[in-house]
Formats: sequence, C-alpha cells, structure tokens
Amino acid sequence: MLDRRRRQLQIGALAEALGRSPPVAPPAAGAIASLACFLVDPAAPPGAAGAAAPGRDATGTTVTVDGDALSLREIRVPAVRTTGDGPIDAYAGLALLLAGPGGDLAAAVRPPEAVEPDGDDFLLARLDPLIDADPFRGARAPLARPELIDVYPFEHHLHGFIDGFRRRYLAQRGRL
Amino acid sequence: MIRRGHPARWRAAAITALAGLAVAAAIAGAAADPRDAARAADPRDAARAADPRDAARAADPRDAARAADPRDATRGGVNGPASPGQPPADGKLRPLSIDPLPRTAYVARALAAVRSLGPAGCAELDRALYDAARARCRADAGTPAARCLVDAARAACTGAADRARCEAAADVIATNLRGQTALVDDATRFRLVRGSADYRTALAAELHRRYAVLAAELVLTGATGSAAATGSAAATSDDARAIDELCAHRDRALHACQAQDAACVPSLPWSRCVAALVWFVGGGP
Repeated sequence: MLDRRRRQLQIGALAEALGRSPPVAPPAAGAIASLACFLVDPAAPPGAAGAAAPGRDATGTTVTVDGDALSLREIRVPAVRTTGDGPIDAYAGLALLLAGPGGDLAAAVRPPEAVEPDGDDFLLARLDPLIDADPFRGARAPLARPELIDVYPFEHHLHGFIDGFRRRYLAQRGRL
Repeated sequence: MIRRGHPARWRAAAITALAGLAVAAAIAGAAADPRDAARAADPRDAARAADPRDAARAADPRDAARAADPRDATRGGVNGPASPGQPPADGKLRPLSIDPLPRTAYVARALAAVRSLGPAGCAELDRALYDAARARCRADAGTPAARCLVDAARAACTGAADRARCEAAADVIATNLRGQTALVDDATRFRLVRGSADYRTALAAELHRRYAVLAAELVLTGATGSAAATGSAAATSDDARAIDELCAHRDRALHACQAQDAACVPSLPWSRCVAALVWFVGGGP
C-alpha cells in the first residue's frame, strides 16, 4: 500500500515535470496504514478479567518506515490460553488493541442471575440465565463447567461482543 | 381442527402453519415486488422443498458425529470463533468425560408432563404462572428472574395431585415466559398492544406462530418419533432426543430476523428452544 502511494507521488512529480496537470495526491501514509502488535510477554502484568487478559491498555507511538511516519499501537498480555475462558481474554485483548476500551455500558447492565444447574427439577428455568451470563462482561463461571458448554449460548454473546467492537472500530477508522 | 396434542398430528400442524406463513409471505411479496412473487411461485422452489436429498442431509450421520463431539474451535457463525471450553489434557477431542446434564431425559419428562396435563390443564397452569409472574416477579416491567419464576411455579404446584408432573410442565411455562421478548420483537408487541383488546391472548397467538415455525424446523430434521408409535414412551423419547439435538446445535449458525417477520425464529438458547418446542409438540394451548 505504501509502495503504491509512493508510485502515485512519483507519477504526480513526473506530470509536473512534463508540464501536465498532476493527479490528485494520495492521502498521507499515516491515514492509510498503521501497525498493531499483540505481544505475548510473560513479564506483562495480568489483567483483572483473567490471568491472560491484558493488565494495561494499549500504548501508542510513531515509527518511521521508509521515511513515512506510521502510528504503532501495541498491547502486552502475559500469555495466550486456549483452554477454559482463555479465548475470551484473547478476543478482549485484540478488541482493546484495535478499537480501544469499550464504553461504560457493561457497568450499566445489571449483573446476571446465577446459573444453578444442579438438581433434578426446573432444568430449563435454571439454565435460562445463561443468556445473560456474558463472558465478555465478566461472567466467566459457566465456562468453567464443562457440562454447560454444550448449551451455553456462546454465539449469542460473541455476536454481541463483535457487534460492539465493529461500532467502535467503524467510528474511529471510518471503515471495517 | 388439528389438535397439536396428538403426537401424530403436531407435525402436520407445524407444516400447515409454516405453509400458511409462506403463502402470507408470498402474498406480501407480490404486493411489494412482482418479481419476488414470481420467485415465490417458482415451481423449482417447491421441488427443492420436497427434495428427498434434504431429508437425507438432515439425517446425515456426520451430523450425529458432530453432535457427539465437544464444542470445538472449528464451528461458529462469526469469524470461526474458538469456543471456550476445557479440552482434554492430551489435546485429543472426544466426548467430555464428566457427567453431562440429563438433558434428553429431562426433555422427555417435560414433554410427557405437558401431554398428560392436556390443553385445559396447561391453560390453567399457564394462567396461574402468568399472573404470579406479574404479581411477584415484575414480569410487566421486564424479563422475570428465573429464581422468582421457579418459586412461583413451586407455589402453583403445591396442591397438584402429581407435583413432579406439574413442576415439569411449569418449568416449560416459566421458561417460555422468559423467552417471550426474544421470540416476538418489540415492534410486533407494540402492534399487539395497540391493536388487541386482550394483549395476552394476542401475544399467545403470535408466540404460537413462532413455535410452529420452530416445530417445522424440527420436523424437517426427520429425527422425531415415529407416527406409528403414537403416544408411546418410545415416541416421546425420540421426540425428546430430536428436540434436544436441534436446540443444542441450532444456534451454531446465526439466525437474524427482520422486525415483524413471523416466519423467522431468531437465535435462541437451548432452554428457550426446548421450552417452545415442548409446549407446541406437547399440545399446550
């Protein structure tokens, strides 16, 4: 992308040299490219949400690539876990890196009702609160119970999380 | 009139309801766009609908194999998510070794309870729980809490001759009460409030349409109990297994519905899907 931009600038310079009207100049390099790094660093502090969750927000700086200044955002997580609720930490870390922290909506949502699957009666009503137990908002306990995984409405929660991420990202970048 | 409580007839009722919705959609489409009407009337669609290969696909043994697998990172409707869970320590996927929830047995119990109560008994219990939910669980202000509904259901079944059966049916009713707003969108409920003398009856009719569409999905899986074994324990067990399978796997693809689309059942958690189907298949009013 940066190479194509450079060629467009060269075409413009050539047009000017030949006395022709130059084409519209491409946008600045920083507007069309950026870098985002998801770093696994055992020395990074763990987050409150989970042992593999990022302990700090993403940090930003500027780097120079072939003379072009590009923004660089990076986030450090102590580990990536693929078991238990580990994937939730990875999703949350990537969303924090790419779109920044979410709003305070999570704080406004009432805490989910406890899920109590034990017992031989009212199984439907006792499992129904899983629909409100959003692991992306801290309700991780059901994920630690393998017997609930088959009926856990994970796609529902994941869709809500991605939907919120897309809204934040679109507002910041103007594209998806 | 078709009685849904009859195990051999609820399938016909579901298909009839689905066909009615399809016709209504075709008529609405014709009013909006003649090309849509032409597409709706396309005989190739009818042929596709009756294609026996669909039934074969629904009964694909690979689906059964997938059903037996623990949820893994290869499925999901959004960007192929890695579902959380606890895989075995050796990394090889196999059915979970812990005690699973007795889902199929419980669904069979609930189905038998709704069937044995009959339409009148179900209607009476439904009314009692609806009133209790509004009086004690603030159901008129939002989704009632599950714990509150369970307490209300236990209270409603205190004097029942067969308390366990009553509570099993009450569980279905309570879960359906919690799922109403997910099944019927805000716009439709607003229309019912404005245009109906009896909102509860109108909402029940609207929910019935959704349940019928969901039941049609169940019929199309081809896994329900044999019609020849009407009323038998084996048929109930087959129906329960089919309901559990459908509801455990249905949401692995996203079901997004347009507002006021009565022919579309949105994504539902297992509990609400099971409750809706047990109510319809069991013959709830």
